[in-house]
Amino acid sequence: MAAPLVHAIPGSQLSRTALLYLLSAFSACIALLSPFMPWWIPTLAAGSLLWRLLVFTGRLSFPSRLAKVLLVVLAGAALFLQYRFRMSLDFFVALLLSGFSLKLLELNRNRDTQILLYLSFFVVMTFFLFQQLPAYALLAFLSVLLLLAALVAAHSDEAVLARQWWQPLKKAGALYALALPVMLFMFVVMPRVPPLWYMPLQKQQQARTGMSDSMSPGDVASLANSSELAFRATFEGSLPDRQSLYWYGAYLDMFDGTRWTAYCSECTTIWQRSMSRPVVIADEKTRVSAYQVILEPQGGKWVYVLNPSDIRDDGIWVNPDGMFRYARDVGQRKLYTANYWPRQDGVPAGQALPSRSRYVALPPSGNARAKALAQQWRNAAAADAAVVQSALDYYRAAFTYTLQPPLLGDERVDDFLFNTRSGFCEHFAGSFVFLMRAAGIPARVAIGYMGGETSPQDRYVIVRQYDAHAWAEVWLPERGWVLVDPTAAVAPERIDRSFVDAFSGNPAFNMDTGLQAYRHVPLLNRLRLQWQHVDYLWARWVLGYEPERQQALLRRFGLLSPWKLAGMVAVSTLLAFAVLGIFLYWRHWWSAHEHRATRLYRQLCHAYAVCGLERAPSETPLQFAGRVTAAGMPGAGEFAGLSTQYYCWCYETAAQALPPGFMENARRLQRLLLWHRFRQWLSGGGIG
Amino acid sequence: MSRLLAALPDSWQQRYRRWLDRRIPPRQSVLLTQANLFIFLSRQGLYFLLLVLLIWVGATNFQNNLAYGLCFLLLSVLFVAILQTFANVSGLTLRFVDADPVVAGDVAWMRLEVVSPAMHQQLSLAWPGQVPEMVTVQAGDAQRIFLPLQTVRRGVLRPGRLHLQSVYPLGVVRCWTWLDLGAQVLVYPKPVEADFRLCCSGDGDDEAGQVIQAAGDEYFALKPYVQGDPRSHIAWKQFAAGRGLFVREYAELRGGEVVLDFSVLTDADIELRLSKLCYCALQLHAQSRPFGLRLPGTDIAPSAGEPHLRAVLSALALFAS
Repeated sequence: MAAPLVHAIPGSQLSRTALLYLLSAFSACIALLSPFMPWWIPTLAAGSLLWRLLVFTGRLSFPSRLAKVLLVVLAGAALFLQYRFRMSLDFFVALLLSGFSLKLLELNRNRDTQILLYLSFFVVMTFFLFQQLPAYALLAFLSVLLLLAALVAAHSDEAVLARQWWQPLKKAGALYALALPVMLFMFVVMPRVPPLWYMPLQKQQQARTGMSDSMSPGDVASLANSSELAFRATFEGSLPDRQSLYWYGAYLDMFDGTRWTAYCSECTTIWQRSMSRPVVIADEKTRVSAYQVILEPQGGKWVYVLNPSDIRDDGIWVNPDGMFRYARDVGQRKLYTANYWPRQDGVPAGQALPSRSRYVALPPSGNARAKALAQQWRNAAAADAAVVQSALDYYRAAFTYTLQPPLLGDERVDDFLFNTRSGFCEHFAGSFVFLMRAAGIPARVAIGYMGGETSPQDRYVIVRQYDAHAWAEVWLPERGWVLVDPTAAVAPERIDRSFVDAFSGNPAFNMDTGLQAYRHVPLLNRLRLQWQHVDYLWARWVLGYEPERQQALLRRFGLLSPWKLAGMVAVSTLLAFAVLGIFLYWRHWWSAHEHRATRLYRQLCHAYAVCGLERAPSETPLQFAGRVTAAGMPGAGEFAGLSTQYYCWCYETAAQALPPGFMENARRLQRLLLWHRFRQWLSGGGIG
Repeated sequence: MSRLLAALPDSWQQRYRRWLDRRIPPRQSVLLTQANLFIFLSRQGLYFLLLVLLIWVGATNFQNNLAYGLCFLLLSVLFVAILQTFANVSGLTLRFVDADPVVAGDVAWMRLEVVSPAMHQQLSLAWPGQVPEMVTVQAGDAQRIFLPLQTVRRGVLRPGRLHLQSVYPLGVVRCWTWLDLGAQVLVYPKPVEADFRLCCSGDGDDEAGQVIQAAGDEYFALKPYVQGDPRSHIAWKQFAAGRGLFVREYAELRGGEVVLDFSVLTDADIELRLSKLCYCALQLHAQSRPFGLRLPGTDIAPSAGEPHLRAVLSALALFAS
C-alpha cells in the first residue's frame, strides 16, 4: 500500500520553487519596462525583489506595517513629483509598476500571485506601447512564457516542483506552443475596430523629433543630427530616381521677416476629408505607381507624399494645395497608401494662379538690399525662368552649405545673402523664395524630407530625420508650380547622394548612427542592411498589419463582407478548437486504453489480413499463429514466437514487463510484411 | 456550486440530483472521462478574461498590433488551458475502498484507491461540506488516498457525492465532477462515561467489583497500527527494528462476564443510553473482560476480542436507525 497522498492545505502558501519562478518572471517584466520609467521605479522594484529574496533565504523578515506604509507614501510622493498625477500612459504605467513592486513585498499567498501575474501581463502590453522593435518584441513574448510558467508553478504540487523544478516551464512551453498557431490565426483574421477613445502618449510626444509647422533658420538643421526613423515607403512599381524623391510635408507661404509659416494651417475650412475629395488627377494612364508609407510615431499630424499624390484614407484630410495631414496627432505607427503621378509641366492655357497675392506678399519693411537685388534681376530679364536662373547662379557662385550656419542679425535675409553666405537648406529655401517674391514671381517654401536610404531590389526607401529638407516652388506661366531646390545649386552632393555620405567626416555631423558608422566595412554593412530588412518586414507585416491590409489579404481568399469574416472567424476558431480537442482526446484514449504492445499486435494482425489471412474475432493469438504457420505466410515462425510472448503477457503475467526485444522483433516483422505486401503489389498480386 | 445549489428551491435541488444521478450514476469505481466531467472558467478565469479584454481595449486604443498579438495569445492560452485542465483530470479511475469505523464526532478517514496511466496534479477532493484535500496522483500503480470526513452522529454515514476538481495548470479553468462512489462509514455512538456495573443486567455483578486495574507497564500483546490508535501506545522499539508499526495493547486483569443491557439504563434519551453502553463496552474490552450486549431485538452473547467488540459497537451504531 502506498503512503497517504494528502498534503498541503489548499491554495494558501506559495512553495519555494513557485516563488522563485514568480520572482524571475516579475524581474523580467520590470527589466523590460525600466528603460522607459524614471530611475526610481526600477530601483524600487529591484529593492522589493531583493527584500523578498532575502525573506526567501531567511535573512530578513517581511516588512512591518509601518515600513510598508512609509514605502507607499514615498512612492506616492515620487509619483506626484514626477507626473503631478496627470492622466497619461506614462503615469499610468509608473503607477502600475510602483504598486506592483510594493505588492511584491507581501507576496506570500497564491491569491496575491494570481492577481500580480495578471497585472504583469498587462505590464507587458504597456511595454509594446513604448517599444516595438522585433528583438524587444521577442523578449517580451519570452517573458510572457516565463509568466505562464510562474502561473503553472503557482498551481503545481510542491512535492513535484521540488523534484522537477523545470516541470512548470515544460508545461507552459507546451501550452505556448499549442496556443501560438491559434494566436497567429486570430491575428490574421480577427477584425480590428477603431480606437474607442484617445489617450495621449506623453513621453513619445516629448521625445519625438520631427517637423514643425513653421520654419526659421536652424529648425531643419536641428533634425540633422537625429538618425531616428521618420517613415518608410514601399513602391509597387520601380523606385523613382533619387532626384524626384521630394517628400512634401507642407507648404509655408507666409513670411513675417523671421519665420515662414503655413497660411491658415489650423483653419478647418480649407481642410476636407480625403475620402470626399473629387478625383484630382483624372488621367489613370499616367499614374506611375502606388506607394505605401509606414509612418513612425510623431508629435504632429504630418503626412508625407511625393507631389502630386492622391490619398484616400478615412483619417487623412487634404487641403486645396494637395497637401495631406492626419485628423489627429499621430501617436503610433501609421500606414497609408498613396497614388503618385509624374510631375506634369504645363497648366491648361489661361489658368491663373488662385490667390496670387498671397504668394508674392512680403513684409513691407526690411531686407532692402535683397529686394533691390531681386529688382535688378527682374529688370535684366523678361522671363520669370531667367530670374530663377540668375538667383541659382548667384547661390552657386559664392555660397557654402554647412550644418553650423553662423548667427544672423535682424535683417535675416540680407545678412545671409550678403554677409554670412553659408547656411543650411532652410536658409537657401527661405531666401530664395524671398528673392522670387521680391521680383514679383509667386513662390512658396516646401518642407519635408528629401531622398532617403534606398533599397532598389526591395523597392523601398527608408527616410530618417536627418533627411529633413526645405526647398522652394515657383509659379511659372504655362508651367504652373515648379520645384526649385536652391540647395542643389550649392551642394549637389546633398541631393545626389545620401545625407550621411555627403556629411560623413564633417565635424558638425556628430550623430549617433550605430552600425551606420561602419557602413564602409562590407560585412557589417551587409549585416546592417539585412537587419534593416528584417525590421522592415516586421514593420510591414506585423506592426503595419492594418485593417486595410487585413481586408486585402482576406479579399484574396474571397472574403469581403465583415459578416462572412465574422462567420469564418467563429467557425474556424471552433474548428481549430475541435481539432485540437480531438487530437488530445485521441492521444489520451490511446495511452489510456491500448497498450503499445496490443496496438502493435493488432497492426500485425491487420498486416496478415491485408496479405489474405484474417484473424477471426474469437481466435486466440495462439490459434491464429497456428493458422498463419499452416498457411505458410512470410515471417510465420517469428509471428508464432511473438504471439506466444504476447499471449503470456496478456493473460498470465498481466501488467508485468514485456519480454525483452518484443517490440523490436514485432516492428521488424511489421517491416517484413510491409515489404512482402509491396512485392506482391509489384508482381500484380491482388491486394484490395 | 453547493452554495449556489443551496440557494435554489427544494424541487430544483431534487431535479438537479435526479439529473446528476442519470448523468453520473452511482458506481463503486469510476473512470473520469468527458461523460462525467464538467468544465468551465473558474473565477480566476473570469478575471483572466477581463484582463484579455483590457489588453484588447489597450490594443484598440493605441492601434498596436503587438498588443493585439498579446491579447490573442492570452486568449489562445485560455483555450488551450481548457484542454490541458481537462487532460489533467480525465483518465483517472477512482474507487472507494473502505473506512474504519469511528465514534461520532471523530474524523473518519475514507480510503480511496486511485489509478491512472498519467500523472494528475493538484486534484482537490472533498466530501460535501468538508475541507478539500489536495492530491497529486502519480502515473502507474494504484495509490491509496485518505480523505477526512467529520462525523456527527452514530449510524451509517453516507457522505454523498465526492467533489473532485482541479484548476491545474493555470487556474483559469476549473474541471470538476460529483462522484457517487457508494462511500459509507460506520459511526459508533460517542462514548459517555458511565459505570459499567450500572449498565449490566443481574448476574455476576459481585465479581465485577474485584477487578483491579493494572496500571503497570507490562503489555499484553502487539497489534498492527491502525489510524486513530493512540500515539503513546506505538511500539517504537519494534518500529526502529524495522518490523513495522505496532501498538501495545495493555493487559489488565480479567474479571467475570457481564451483559450490558439497554433496558437497565434509566435515561430517557436513547442516544445517551447507547453512548453509555458504548463507553462500557470499550472499557470492558480494554480490560479484556468478556461481555455481552442486550438491546431490544438484539442479543449478543458474552465474548471478548476485537471482532466481538466490533459486533457490539456495530449493533449500538445501527440500533433503531
